[in-house]
Amino acid sequence: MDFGSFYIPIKIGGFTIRLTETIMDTWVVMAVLIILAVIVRIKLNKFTDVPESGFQNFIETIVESMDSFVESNMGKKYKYFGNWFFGVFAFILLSNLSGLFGFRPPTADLATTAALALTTFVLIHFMGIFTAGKGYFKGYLEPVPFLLPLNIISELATPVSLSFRLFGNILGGSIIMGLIYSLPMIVKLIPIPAVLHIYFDVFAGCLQTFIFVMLSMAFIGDKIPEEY
Amino acid sequence: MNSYFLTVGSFILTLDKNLLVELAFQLFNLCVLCAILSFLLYKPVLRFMRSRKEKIAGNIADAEDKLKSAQSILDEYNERLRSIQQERSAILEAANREANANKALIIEQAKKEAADIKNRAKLQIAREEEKAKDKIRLQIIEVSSLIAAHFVDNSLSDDKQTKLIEDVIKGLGDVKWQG
Repeated sequence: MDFGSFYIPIKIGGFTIRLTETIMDTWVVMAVLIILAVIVRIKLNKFTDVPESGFQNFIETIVESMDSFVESNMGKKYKYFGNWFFGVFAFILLSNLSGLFGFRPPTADLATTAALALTTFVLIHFMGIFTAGKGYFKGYLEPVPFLLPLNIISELATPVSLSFRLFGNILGGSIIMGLIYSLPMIVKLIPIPAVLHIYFDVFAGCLQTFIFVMLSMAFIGDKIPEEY
Repeated sequence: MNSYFLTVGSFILTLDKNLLVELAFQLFNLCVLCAILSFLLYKPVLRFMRSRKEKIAGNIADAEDKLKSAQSILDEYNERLRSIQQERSAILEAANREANANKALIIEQAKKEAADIKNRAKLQIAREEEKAKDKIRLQIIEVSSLIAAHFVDNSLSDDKQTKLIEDVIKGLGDVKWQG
């Protein structure tokens, strides 16, 4: 049994890069989301002041929820982070749910989760420097300069924990589902896979999406002083 | 799990340069996706909802303004109604006063006219009385003359008769009119 991400080596010049299953599944997820976005953009002209269709209600609900979620976590001044977190949220959620359709979730690959965590890491420190200026680095010497290494490790641990939490959870679910599907046919006839899909793909997928986005907002929000 | 495309290998976790290359790929994919979703979905929908919110807020403010305006018009009309009632009361009071004054004037004029009529009637009565007196006097004279003539024819001369008549007339002048 192989639970890994398959890849095709492609040679470009002297380099060989891997076109992985993760990247191809990511393109599928991106395509679905972009098609949805295009449909929304086209239908937006037909949106009414009082929502009449379920589709309009659905789109408005998720956009408004994200907007108010960002505002409550990061403050009104930094509501524009909603643009970023909406994309991240939609991508992680659809990636996690893609296991339901037989895809290998892109989030079951460290490259994906590390990329996501890296953006959060960059945003955390960018916001720290943006709001506190040079004084930001003095924070690493508090409460006593002796703790500088621990502070640095603590900061580095953030993206590691963010990426490995998501990666581990989704990969674990994928492996268990793979094991279930490798069992004899009789086991697959009873609704065990369906129940496990609901748990690993839907429940854990939604929960991990929420945790990742929530923690990212909290970490970035921590670097924004109270007066903002 | 089976692969759905041609493969030459698989991996679960590799901590090598390939991871960095794939991370860069995913980073690029993520940025592109976020930019597209933001441009096509998040921003336009948020803008739509914001404009709707502003429109609703505008409508509410407009309705409140109209309500205030209607209230002020109502107050103005109530004030006008109050002033009209006061004016009506004043007009009625003035009309009453004028009517009372006219009534007193009319009564006074009527009294005066009645007094004039009474006076004229009295004057007329006095005149009629004088006339009657004169008439009676003349009738008495005539009667007396007849009596005297008849008497004189029997016993007196003309001179004596005349003197007698005059004495009788003088005596009549002192008789009080009883009419």
